[in-house]
Amino acid sequence: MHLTDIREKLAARPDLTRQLAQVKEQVATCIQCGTCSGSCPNAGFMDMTPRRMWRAVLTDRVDMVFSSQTFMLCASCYVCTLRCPRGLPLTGAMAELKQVAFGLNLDRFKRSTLFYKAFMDNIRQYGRVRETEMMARYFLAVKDPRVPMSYTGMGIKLMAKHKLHPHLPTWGPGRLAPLFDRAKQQER
Amino acid sequence: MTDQIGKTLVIGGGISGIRASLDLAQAGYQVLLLEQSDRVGGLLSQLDTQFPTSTCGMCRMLPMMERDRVDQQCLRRGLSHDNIEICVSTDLISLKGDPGNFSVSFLSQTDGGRDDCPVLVVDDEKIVRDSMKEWLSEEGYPVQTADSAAEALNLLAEGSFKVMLTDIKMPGMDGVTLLTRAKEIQPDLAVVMMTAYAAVDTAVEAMKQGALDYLVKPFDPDAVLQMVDRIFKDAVAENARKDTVDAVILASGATFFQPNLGINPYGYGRIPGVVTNLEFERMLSHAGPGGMDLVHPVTGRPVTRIAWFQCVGSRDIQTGTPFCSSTCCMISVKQSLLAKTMYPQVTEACVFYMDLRTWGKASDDYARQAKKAGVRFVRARVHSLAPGLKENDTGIPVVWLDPSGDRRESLFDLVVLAPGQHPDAFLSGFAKDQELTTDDWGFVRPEPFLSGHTNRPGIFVCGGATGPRDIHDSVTGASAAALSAMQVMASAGRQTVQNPEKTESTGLRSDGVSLFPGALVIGGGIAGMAAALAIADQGFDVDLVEKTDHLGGNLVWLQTAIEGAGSFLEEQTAAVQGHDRIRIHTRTCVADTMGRPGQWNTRLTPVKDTAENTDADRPEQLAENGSPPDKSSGGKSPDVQVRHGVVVLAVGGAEASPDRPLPDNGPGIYTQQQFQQALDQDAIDTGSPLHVAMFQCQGSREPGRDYCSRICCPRSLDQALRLKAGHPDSRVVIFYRDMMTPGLSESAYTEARKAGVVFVPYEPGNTPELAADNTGCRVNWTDPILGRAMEMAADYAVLATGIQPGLSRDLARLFGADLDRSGFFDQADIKWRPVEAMDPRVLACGICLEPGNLALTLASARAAAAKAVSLLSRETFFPGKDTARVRSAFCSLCQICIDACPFNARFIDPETRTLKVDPLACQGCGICAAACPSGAAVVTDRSLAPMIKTIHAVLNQPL
Repeated sequence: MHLTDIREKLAARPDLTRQLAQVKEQVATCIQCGTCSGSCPNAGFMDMTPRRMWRAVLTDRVDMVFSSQTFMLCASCYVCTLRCPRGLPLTGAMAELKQVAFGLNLDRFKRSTLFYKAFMDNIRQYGRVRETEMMARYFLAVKDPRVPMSYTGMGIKLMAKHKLHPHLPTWGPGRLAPLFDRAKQQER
Repeated sequence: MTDQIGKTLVIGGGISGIRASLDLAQAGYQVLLLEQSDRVGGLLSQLDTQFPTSTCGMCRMLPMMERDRVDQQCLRRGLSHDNIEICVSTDLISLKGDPGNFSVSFLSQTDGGRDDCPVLVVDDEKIVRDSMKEWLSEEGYPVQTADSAAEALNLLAEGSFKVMLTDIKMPGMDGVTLLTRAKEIQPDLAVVMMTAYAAVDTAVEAMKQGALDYLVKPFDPDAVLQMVDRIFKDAVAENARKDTVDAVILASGATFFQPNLGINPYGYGRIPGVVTNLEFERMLSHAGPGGMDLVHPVTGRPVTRIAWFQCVGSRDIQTGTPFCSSTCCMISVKQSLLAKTMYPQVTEACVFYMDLRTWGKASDDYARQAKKAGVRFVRARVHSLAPGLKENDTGIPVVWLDPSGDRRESLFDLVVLAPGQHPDAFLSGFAKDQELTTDDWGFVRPEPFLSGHTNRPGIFVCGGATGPRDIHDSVTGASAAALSAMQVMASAGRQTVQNPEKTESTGLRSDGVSLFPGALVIGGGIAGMAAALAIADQGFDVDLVEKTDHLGGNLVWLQTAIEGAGSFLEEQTAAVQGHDRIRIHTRTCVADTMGRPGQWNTRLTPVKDTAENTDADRPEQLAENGSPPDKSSGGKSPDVQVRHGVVVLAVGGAEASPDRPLPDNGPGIYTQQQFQQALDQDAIDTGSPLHVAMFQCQGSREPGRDYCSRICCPRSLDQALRLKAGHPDSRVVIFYRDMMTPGLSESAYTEARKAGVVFVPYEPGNTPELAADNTGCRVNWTDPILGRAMEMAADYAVLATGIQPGLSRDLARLFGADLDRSGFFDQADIKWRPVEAMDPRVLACGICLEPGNLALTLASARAAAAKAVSLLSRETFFPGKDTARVRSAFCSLCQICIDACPFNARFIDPETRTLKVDPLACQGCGICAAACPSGAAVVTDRSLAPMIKTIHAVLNQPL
């Protein structure tokens, strides 16, 4: 079952368990007033409002937390952090949940994870996004021909408007590699 | 020195300051009342109505004794009393000294404003002259300029200046020469030299010749203003009045948070229709800007949809306000109820709240009235406001998330913000100058167990300066502070102003009514002991009656739960027992009383030792107080007769028994008190991870006991924190309706959340299910946020049942008082006379008066003692202009007036066989005058002939 699956995976990863505990600590003084959810521009697209997400975190309902896409939809606009009467770092907490979800390597977040990875690799390489290459690498990583197929329509449209600019990929450590390495170092 | 009249300085003329001043003035002391603004009354002069009475009634604070010494007018318009010197528009300049000898200087703002401080600027550069003129004029100083020393001398000869700012290097005469010449013309002129950095030496030289200071060019406007302000203040300080006082009461109040200064202003000042609750209070008033109509402040159209936003600048870390402001919920309840009932046009009145804090004995019922009147209460916090597209046409769109998670939107004509109370600038300055201990937020922190005492002896504090307070707590605290000031004055050997009627015509006036010089205090809990001690310390005899065999009441079981309470209880008990003016009667109760109010002759009788008596009739004695009833002592002593002039009811109360049928009295189910005692006796192993479920409002805030007991939420938090401190893995879930942690106690709530305590809100009718058997308890509930069924196995279930007052109606009625609908002591007025019955000689304090914690209990005890001392120190009372009189020559003793008087104020004096009026009971209503068949009962200045003439004049008929 999903629940035991997540619990088992979490138990196997003490670092992620610790990170989740940190999130719980960060939002401990939440009074469930709903200001975050009321102010969230993406709340309407989320399967679970941010308030419910915090409640699930606080009541240790990891099954609810990681069966939701809510934190994936967080646009990091920081309105909730700005408005929270308890002064909680909610946007940061969403980002941490995202990281835990990636770390757990759950099937349901596989595509999101791969997308984020393709995006970040692209930034690391060029210091900006080259959409065409990024998508190509993403499609390769997904290893599912149905995914690129589903983008065919959009691709044709973009091509017609000359929006696709194929570049020859460059090799090497990447333009922003030192920055990324430094960040990784600091995370440790 | 010893025949000097005692005098107290009261800082702040708000409601607390007025109350403290009146208490001191009635006790015969002199008061110096300083107020910064141009009127007394503070915030209250802007409020038409108060909760939970929906009326004003501030005039009920007016003295009941020696009423001719005070103007019997509306207190919102002003205050006057022979013994109170009121200085409005006055600033405190300095305060130094010790108890019994504080020297104070203060200055009227009308004595020399900035417009009386003309400034002369002398410089050859136009840009300097012009910018200086602009800066200083903006701050209110009259400024003239001169471009040369010669012109400056002409101006100086023509008019007088207070300050001259002069350049040093000028063509013609230089600044230093100008300085000497100017000083010849006007020796007291303050001269400031302006100079470039290179010429600082010259400036220093000029100071030797009489210049006050110098400014280095190029200067920053603030430095110039600070310099001129300093000169101005020194100049006006010379005009300051000086006085000597014995004690100081700080009642400077708090200020309201200004929404437009917060990081989330909710469109205040930008979106028309967003107002603060104080502004709305004026709109609601028939004497306000809209007159008899409730109209939009910009469009002028009738307002039909109103929303109230709670916690604006309260319970908000983002505005540096982690505390709750205590009163805003009730203000919004009142405003919404009034808007809905006064103006039928209001179709939508909606209060958005986080926890509806209807703490105290009458608030919860008031909120129910509002709900019944159609006010909608929504548990939600609106994140921000944006103007509507066509705001004038449609209203302000308000978006919120309801508890189920659905987004809702509605349009409102008006949004009323409920801003919180914050410490003001005066308070922080004063606290710093006087080195008063303050809390993290800048409110003055009173000493533990000494309500209203600061860390500085002789300086007392009350009202909003100690944290957000409502009227009731402010008024109680102010009387307690007045008592402390009386104690300082008494120990400094100060006298009181003599009763003028008594000194003028001793022996001539026979209509006086006197009090027996002693007090009867019923109840030997901490409230009774504190009141008895305070009264006895002022030199009056006190009889303290206690039903059980020991003193201390509820504090006996609470002493380990409250830090420091154990030693405090010990000290108080020892002080009471060792006091030569206090007679203690343990295992005794009141049998009956005879005599007029004020001349009571009360019979005390030993408590009968029956089992029923212990259980049913002694609610203040708790079953688990640890000491077995002593059957040997006192049981056979004969009845005692006590003569007393005042009575203080302090019989306390007890934890209410849980009226929810418990599934099984299994080992894990405790009441809050039982759990506390188990914790204190280490009967619960807090060192191991425990699962504990706490249930708030068990039988409270429901029909039957429809009040909030105010103490259970803070106690539950305390217990939860203790469990969490014992073992961090302990799981504590608190099921609550609204967490009642008003004021600074909000921090305990935050602490508990931080510690990982889980809080689950529930609505009545949807209470979590508790089941128990031998193995433990199980709780089932639906989490309103998750929308999921939840389950918990608990080692302990704790039921917070609240306080049940222990005052019997028979006892209250014995002294002419009564119980209110909840069974507490019925106050003359819940806001304005919180510790008295209609008859001011009948007082009450502690939890038989109202539910409250130890600090409140002590405050009410000291407030009651202040009232008792005021009364007892006056001995004899005479009818005044506003009370009825008897013209004995006309009186046939038919006694019709005695039956007619609703206040039991008329009686036949058995000694003189004449009819007398009790001036402390008479309200001057005139019913006696109407009832009297022979014209013997009269109310001064309201006699028949002028009344008839007035009626004729009104009807415009010739006589």
